[in-house]
Amino acid sequence: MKAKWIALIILLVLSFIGLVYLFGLGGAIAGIFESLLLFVLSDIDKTTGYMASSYKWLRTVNFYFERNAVEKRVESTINLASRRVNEEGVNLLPHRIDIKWVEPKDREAFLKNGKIVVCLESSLNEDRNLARATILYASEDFIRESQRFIDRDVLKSACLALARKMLMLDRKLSALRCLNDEFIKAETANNPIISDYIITMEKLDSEGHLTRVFLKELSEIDIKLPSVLSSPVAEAETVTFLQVMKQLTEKKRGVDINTSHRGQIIDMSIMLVARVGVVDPTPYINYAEKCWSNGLPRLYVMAQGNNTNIAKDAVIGIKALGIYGVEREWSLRIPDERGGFDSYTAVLSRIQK
Amino acid sequence: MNKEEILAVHKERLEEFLKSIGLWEPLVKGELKCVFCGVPISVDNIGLIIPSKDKIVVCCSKSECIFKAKELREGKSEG
Repeated sequence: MKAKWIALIILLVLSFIGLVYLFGLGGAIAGIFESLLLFVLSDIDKTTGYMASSYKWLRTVNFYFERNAVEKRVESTINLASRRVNEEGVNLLPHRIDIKWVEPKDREAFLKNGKIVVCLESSLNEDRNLARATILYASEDFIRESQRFIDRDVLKSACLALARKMLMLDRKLSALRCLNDEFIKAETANNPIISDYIITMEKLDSEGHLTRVFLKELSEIDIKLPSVLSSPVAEAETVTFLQVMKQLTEKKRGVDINTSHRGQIIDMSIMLVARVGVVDPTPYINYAEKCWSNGLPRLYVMAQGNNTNIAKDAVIGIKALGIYGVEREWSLRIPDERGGFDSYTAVLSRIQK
Repeated sequence: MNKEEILAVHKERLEEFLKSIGLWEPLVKGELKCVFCGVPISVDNIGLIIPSKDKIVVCCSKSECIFKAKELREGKSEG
């Protein structure tokens, strides 16, 4: 990302100098326009955000500016955030949000259209608009095809956790406060299990496993049950799977936990490379072999800190055996209050022999 | 990347819009209630306007009701 910006700035400076050298004042003006154009094209969502700010500034001049201030702010925040969520590796939010203002129409036309209309407030109430629109967008777009197989509380919690994540990614702290105060608190007061689920999901996210493991598995249920309308088994498994993931977030050093979920639909295991002082990847490769013999279709390999190198060696060894192939792998630096730690996650898929 | 179209009405144009679909009068008379939690709907707490089969219903701005609205549209819950 940094390299992209450095290259862009060098390109701009060089072309600006070239234009001024060749065409003088006219070249300088052309250079400024060129810079503006490249700036807009380099990140359309950020530019939309700047447009929202300028429209808001002009809001008292005409309702056109007020309406655009609301529209552009919601679009820019949600599109930026959904892009960042998708950049984590799984296409959880495949669509960009596009706010369309409804015009007064007759009752029949509205019924025929069949689409829900959301009420948005003035651009002065930006936080409330963002909180409301983010929830609505997340509930509509998030792993849409698999939603029908997910337990209602798990799904609601995932949408709320995702909405929180999106607002945090764009550092919309006052919108986040509004989301907590006006939406999440009310929800958790009525149904305490949602609070428990959201906390688990946020812990998973702080370790980089929410989107890459938990939501990835949920998003693929539809692929496993393509022609089924609903499945009580799948719904129940989304709850038990979350319980397995919860154990992972609560794991104490040196204490073994069950990290497998061998369901009919969600069938996976997590291999934690977490032993202190172990430098030989052989036990992990042997474990993978055992998983393969037991018919496990997917194995996640996870490690933190110094263990990331052993985990990578284990993955190389497993690949060499030809039992699992690497679907995806991530080497991340996870920030925390002590400055951050290295984290490694690999998704391995069973190879049929 | 495809787009997820979300239809919206600005609060300042709410009156005009609700009048066009015949819901403004019930709203000002205090007759409009959230289809899910039953709370009286006003300009301040109106969240969504939902076409449901042959009627138009509204829900308040609580997230619980926003989630239910989606289910209602998909035919999973009764309004």
